[in-house]
Amino acid sequence: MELGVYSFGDLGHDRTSKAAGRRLDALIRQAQAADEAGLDMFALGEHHRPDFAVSAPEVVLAAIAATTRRIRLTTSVIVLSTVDPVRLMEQFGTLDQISHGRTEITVGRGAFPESYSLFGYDIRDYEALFDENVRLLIQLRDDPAKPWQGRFRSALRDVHTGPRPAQQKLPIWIGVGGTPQSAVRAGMLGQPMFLSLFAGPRSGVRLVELYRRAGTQAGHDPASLRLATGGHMYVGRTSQGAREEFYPHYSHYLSLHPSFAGGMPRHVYDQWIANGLLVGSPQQIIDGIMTHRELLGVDRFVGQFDPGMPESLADGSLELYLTEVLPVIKAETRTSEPAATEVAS
Amino acid sequence: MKIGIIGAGKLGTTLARRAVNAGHDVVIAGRPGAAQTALVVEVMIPGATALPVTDWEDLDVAILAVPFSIALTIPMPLQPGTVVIDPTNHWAPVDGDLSDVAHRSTSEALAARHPQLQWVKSLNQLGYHDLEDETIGIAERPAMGIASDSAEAAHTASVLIASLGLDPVVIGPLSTGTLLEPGGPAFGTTLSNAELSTLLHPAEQAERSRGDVAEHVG
Ligand SMILES: NC(=O)c1ccc[n+]([C@@H]2O[C@H](COP(=O)([O-])OP(=O)(O)OC[C@H]3O[C@@H](n4cnc5c(N)ncnc54)[C@H](OP(=O)(O)O)[C@@H]3O)[C@@H](O)[C@H]2O)c1
Repeated sequence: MELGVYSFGDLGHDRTSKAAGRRLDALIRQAQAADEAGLDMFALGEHHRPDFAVSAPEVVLAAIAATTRRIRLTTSVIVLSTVDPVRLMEQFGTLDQISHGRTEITVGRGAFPESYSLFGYDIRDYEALFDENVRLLIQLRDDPAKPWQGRFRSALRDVHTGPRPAQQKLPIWIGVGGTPQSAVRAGMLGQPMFLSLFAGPRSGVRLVELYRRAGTQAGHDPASLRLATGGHMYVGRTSQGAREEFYPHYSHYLSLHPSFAGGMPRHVYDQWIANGLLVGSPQQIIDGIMTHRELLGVDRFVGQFDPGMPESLADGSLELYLTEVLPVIKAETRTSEPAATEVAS
Repeated sequence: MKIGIIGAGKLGTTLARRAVNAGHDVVIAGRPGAAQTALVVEVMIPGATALPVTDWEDLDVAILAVPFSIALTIPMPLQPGTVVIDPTNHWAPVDGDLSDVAHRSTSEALAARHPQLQWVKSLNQLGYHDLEDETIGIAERPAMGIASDSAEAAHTASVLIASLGLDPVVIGPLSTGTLLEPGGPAFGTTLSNAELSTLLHPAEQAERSRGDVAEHVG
């Protein structure tokens, strides 16, 4: 089973450009530490808000690619409704060359509205834009010379997009946040699915079944229907210590969401942990990730390792994840590794 | 009861599952022409029937579980007088900024477009993850506020909502729906009936003294 981390480079209270610079330095350093420890994946997701440092994940990933050797790099996610798939394919083809075949793309519809007005799209088209763009992106990877005609961008005929990725088939993962139709689409397209789960793996059981049913009904090889899950994560030394250390930061982080505008109530936090939010000692995190594997059959888990946290806290959590969680999960899943998790690179 | 749900997304499928488990007869309509709705219903909501809205008959309650911007634009070919619960939240990330709801409830905007239906604001205050919790209705019954201009519609909605394991609290006319929406005091937290009633009490008082609140229904 593969393990990874992702981040959006959220800034907390200090939103100065200096703070953003420090955050980006830290992300590059943390990715190097993850690489040295043998972690499989490092992922960055785009936001376009004053409280996030990552708006251009491909640029930060390029810096990481140049200073790491084995770790695979992906997004978490690219808001595909508001980027031109041609541009995206060129950027990630370039990144795949720089990283010598360690690049993937994870695309989704996004959770915030900013990118629509920034890049000149109507948010009411978010679904249609995504649907068109994901099909074009897959076509540009699989059959770049094929002509294209769509609703939202000019037609493509006899065009060149390059450089081509180093990998023969750059993996494109579909990010899904819980909408059943998105799981059906990922399955019908026959692409791997990245499912973010904030309230534990149980809520994903039906969605995963839907993904696999849609995929096999559409005639795709079940082995191509790979599955990753992700969610917020904090690893502390002890169970109770982890809960206490993380709570104030997480509560502030979630106040971005209208449900928790005044911060996350403590009883809701405790309930989320009871439902499977990954906050706890290394052993609890191991058990939690293994529950994702048992309930959903995941090939990969990617945790957001720093939501709302100051740098030192994120470093501490990451270190425990790398030194105490990673080796145990690797050992526990090595013998039962599904064949489908082999990645050509 | 016979329940019709428009929208087979996160909230629609969760409510449909609870309603089937409570013994209701549930029909659910996805986006017109969307081939995947049948598969979604088969896998996510065994026991419910995928059926276009135009084929619905003899409904007791309809639930409009689509993004608010879509709710504003879709046709509602339901029998006049049908009780419709509006669980939408105007949330800019999905809906964009809409002038339709400046300072009023989403349900008032919908009622203005479809006055032949009996509108109820409810089922919007908790996330679908909360509503999925199997212990709801057993260990605890979270409160669910209900706003409507029709006492009869509020009653019908209360009966349905109680059967789903929630504790209905009728708070006032449709205009008080804003108290249940994002930015309002009752949005987003699991509360008991008593907690919700106390929480809304000061707000109600303030509204009443400004004279904007008509006759309370419950
Ligand atoms: N999620 C929650 O926790 C929660 C809680 C309380 C209230 N709400 C409210 O509930 C509503 C639905 O939210 P959601 O989270 O369930 O969103 P969602 O997962 O995106 O689901 C919306 C569904 O509406 C469908 N739809 C779009 N156009 C339609 C049409 N013309 N006819 C029928 N169905 C159509 C969509 O289908 P396609 O995918 O094919 O477009 C999608 O399945 C929103 O107004 C939201 O504010 C949500």
